[in-house]
Amino acid sequence: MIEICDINKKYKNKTVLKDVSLSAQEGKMIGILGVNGSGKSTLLSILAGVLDADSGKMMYGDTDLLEKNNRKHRSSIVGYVPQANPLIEELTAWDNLLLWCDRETVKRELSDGLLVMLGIDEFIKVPVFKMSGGMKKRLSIGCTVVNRPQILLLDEPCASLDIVCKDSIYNYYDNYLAGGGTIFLATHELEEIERCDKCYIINEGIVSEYNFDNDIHKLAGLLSR
Amino acid sequence: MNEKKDIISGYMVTNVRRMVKLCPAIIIGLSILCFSVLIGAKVFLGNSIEESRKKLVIGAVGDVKNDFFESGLTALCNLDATRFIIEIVSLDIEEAESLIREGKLTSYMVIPEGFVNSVMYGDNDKVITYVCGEGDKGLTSIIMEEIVETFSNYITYSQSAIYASSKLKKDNGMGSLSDKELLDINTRYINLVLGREKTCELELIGVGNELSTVGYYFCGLLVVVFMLFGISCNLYYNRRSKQIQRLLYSKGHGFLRQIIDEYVPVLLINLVAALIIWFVLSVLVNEGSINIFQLEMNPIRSFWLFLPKMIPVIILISIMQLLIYEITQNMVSSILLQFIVSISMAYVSGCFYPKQFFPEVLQFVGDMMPAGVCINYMSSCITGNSMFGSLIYMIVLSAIMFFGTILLRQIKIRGDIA
Amino acid sequence: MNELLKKTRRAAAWFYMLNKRLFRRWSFLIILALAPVMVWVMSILAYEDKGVINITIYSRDSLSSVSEIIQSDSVINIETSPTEEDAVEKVRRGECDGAWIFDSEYYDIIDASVKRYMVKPVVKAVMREDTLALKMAREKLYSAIYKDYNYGVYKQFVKQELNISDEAKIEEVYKDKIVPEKLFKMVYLSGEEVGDNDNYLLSPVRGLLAAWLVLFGLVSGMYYMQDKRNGLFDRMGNGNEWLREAGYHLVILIDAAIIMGITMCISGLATSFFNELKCMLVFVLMVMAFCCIIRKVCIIPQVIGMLIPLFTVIMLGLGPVFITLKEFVVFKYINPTYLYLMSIHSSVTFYELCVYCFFMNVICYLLYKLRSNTKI
Repeated sequence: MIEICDINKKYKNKTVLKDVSLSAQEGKMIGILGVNGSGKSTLLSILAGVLDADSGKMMYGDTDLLEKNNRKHRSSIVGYVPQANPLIEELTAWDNLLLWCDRETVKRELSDGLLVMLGIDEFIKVPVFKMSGGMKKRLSIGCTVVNRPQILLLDEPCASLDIVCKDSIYNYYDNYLAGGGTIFLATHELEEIERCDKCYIINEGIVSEYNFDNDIHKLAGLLSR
Repeated sequence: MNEKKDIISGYMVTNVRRMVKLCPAIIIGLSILCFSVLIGAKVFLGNSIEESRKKLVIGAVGDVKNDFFESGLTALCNLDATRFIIEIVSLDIEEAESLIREGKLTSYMVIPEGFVNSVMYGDNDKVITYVCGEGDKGLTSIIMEEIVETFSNYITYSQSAIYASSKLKKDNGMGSLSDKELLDINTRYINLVLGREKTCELELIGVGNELSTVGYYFCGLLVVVFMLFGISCNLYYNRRSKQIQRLLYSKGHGFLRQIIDEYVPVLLINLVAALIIWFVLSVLVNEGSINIFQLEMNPIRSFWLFLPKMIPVIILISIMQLLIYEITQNMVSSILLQFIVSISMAYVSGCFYPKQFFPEVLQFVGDMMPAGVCINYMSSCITGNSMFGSLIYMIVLSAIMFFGTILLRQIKIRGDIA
Repeated sequence: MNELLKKTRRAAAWFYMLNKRLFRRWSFLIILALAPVMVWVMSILAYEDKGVINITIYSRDSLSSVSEIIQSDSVINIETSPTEEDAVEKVRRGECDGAWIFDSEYYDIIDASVKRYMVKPVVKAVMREDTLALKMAREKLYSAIYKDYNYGVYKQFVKQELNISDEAKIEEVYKDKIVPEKLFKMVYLSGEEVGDNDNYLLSPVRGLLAAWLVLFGLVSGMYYMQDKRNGLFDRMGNGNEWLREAGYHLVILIDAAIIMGITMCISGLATSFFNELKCMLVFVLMVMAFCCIIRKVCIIPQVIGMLIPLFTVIMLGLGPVFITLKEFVVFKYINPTYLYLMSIHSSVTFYELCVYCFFMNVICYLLYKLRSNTKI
């Protein structure tokens, strides 16, 4: 069970997140919805340890992962895929993977593991600057998941991707959740929202749970309130 | 279609607006540069003027308590021609090393124990060690090397004459030189050394209409500042969008037009920079920190009359900057390349050392480079000599670099499309 | 132990990959290669005929002192003029810095001078302005003329005081007693002798390369900011940022330092391997800290770009690169290259460099400890 409790964050004098609390069980996918600039990326960055929250906790069992002493533990169980693709353009997919894990792991995953599922084996020797958007996104996900984190934070992973690419990523979600992992997914894609077990809406820093009984096409109205 | 024929296109206006928005930041960068130029000009150019009155301070350590040595030192400091360029002070070795690190001493000499006796008795087995205060062998060391060699020669030539006199006397059966004779011949040579500047009559014909040392460095400093200013403008250069350039090309806005539209704001900001730099330097001229003979009459007015003549220099240097930024549009590589090109060109063209320091081959290369031709042109503008040749060459260089920029743009854009 | 080994391997992988990325940029390779190539060309051309100052000589007769000046190995460029007017005109036009015109009755004047215990001019030095270099050149002239005066005084002395008049004998004995020894030797602060082959044109090379290396450090800060903005380090979280950034700077600085070492060898300015290595090591660590501090103070990469000209002026203008002026010593602690350049030939300054490096790293570490949160 993952409990996120009372996360607060201010930038200068503007409140970005106010008492944000979420919960998730293992093997579940949690959607985080909101208009552009609502604070979704900020929340994920805090959970990933990129930013420090002003206050709040992220309880994983008995451990608060946001505490500075637990940084190492957090980095081993939390994987983060940012919105931009943090890849080194001049290097190949293989080289970029080696930045995040050892050679043996990459070889193993390339033979019949996660990287095959994401289709990365097809362009393993291609430099990043020659890749399409979809390939870059899959590689970016691959760099994170190759270390098999238990919690995955994804920030708009399927933005601007084609159907085939999205399909492979969705297949990966299914596999990951079946293995007991938890996904926190910030998204605008209706398909992804429908796949989530639970959704939260962030509106001006305040989070509320999204009731799936509502017609999904009225979501726009909900987000703008 | 009508857009193509407008003299001022929308793209040019956009670029000018971008430059205006970046102006405060660029002007801050320029102000920082001007401040450092102010310090540099006051010290370098002021130092150049004071050069003839500046003394190198040299320490003397070791066996300095010897009576003969002290007398010699006193004579050197008070009577010798070098007293105007060298000051010698007696110190301990620790004092000397400490003062060198603080920059209060240029160098020091170590007088070994028994040196004077060694010279007097003709053994010459002890040597004065001259310790350079500089890092590697620089100009000050070279000058001192020449001077110490001459002093060594004075002593050894005099020794030769004294020994020869003594031998002659012995060979003629008259015995050794008496004390009185030794004193006599030594005195003659001491007087000769101390009075050596009387062997040469000095005639100063004045700078005339040629460029003085200060004027030369003034031109060099200006060129360096203009070139370094290109680095400050990286804010503008590196935010040009390749995608927009491709889109413009697809809409019929050709490469020549694109380069002109990008170049005009660069030229304008360089002119603004020139005005600011001129203002700073005219303050220095007005207060007398910089003394350029040809600009002495009403210095501020002279400067502002001079400024329009600088336009070809500004055009050439700003086109060179544009070309460098076109070669590599990556921000970091472009800054590095600007620095390397600017500094190495400035060095070879004579902005730091006068170009006559270099071999003829390098002097020729330096004169052919944009920095070198700018210095030659500015020198001609100050002295009033013919600048036609330099001007023509500057126009040719500017044209070559301008069309080179266009060609690079073509390769980048059309290469991608292909 | 395993954890440490794992971290070391990870750090090595990052070091290797970041280097690989740099070497795949042709512009970076060209910039790295430019320095040794340019210095190599310079070092070949620097040994051509040149001089700090140009002097033209006119002498109606062939004089030994004139031959001595022309043949001496000196930094003065000597040429001869066919007439006195030609020599003066060259000075007037700025083709030469000075003209030395030897009197047509050179030896007669010397003889007359020594008889009357008076020194009279035998040379006229014509110049436009009297500079330090011209004063130095005149010392060379005096030294050459002194030889003739010296012989004149000797001859006068032996004739007058010793009553010896056999001129052939006088001359023969004098030539036999020429003293060949040199009474001075030049050394650096470290005690190492200054080489005859040390060339003043190449002496700024070390200073220029040191400034070049600092510039690489500054641009590595810009690279770092770009990568951080692109989220490259987001997966690492924000712990140990100081170590991460220091390591990032070291990637570029080590490349630049290796090229700098090679270039120093090409130029012939390199001292012993151990001396160069120890100074370079401390210098690189100091530059790393300096650039981290600058990076932390500047919010965006473009600000560092704007400050580069200022640092260039400080390093090249106020440092002991082209000229050493005592007024500039006060700036040594804001000029990252000053202590390094002075430490090559001075062990005391090397210790000062080590202390400075230590304090820079401490300041850098403290700055990171006080840092605020990063922004997306």
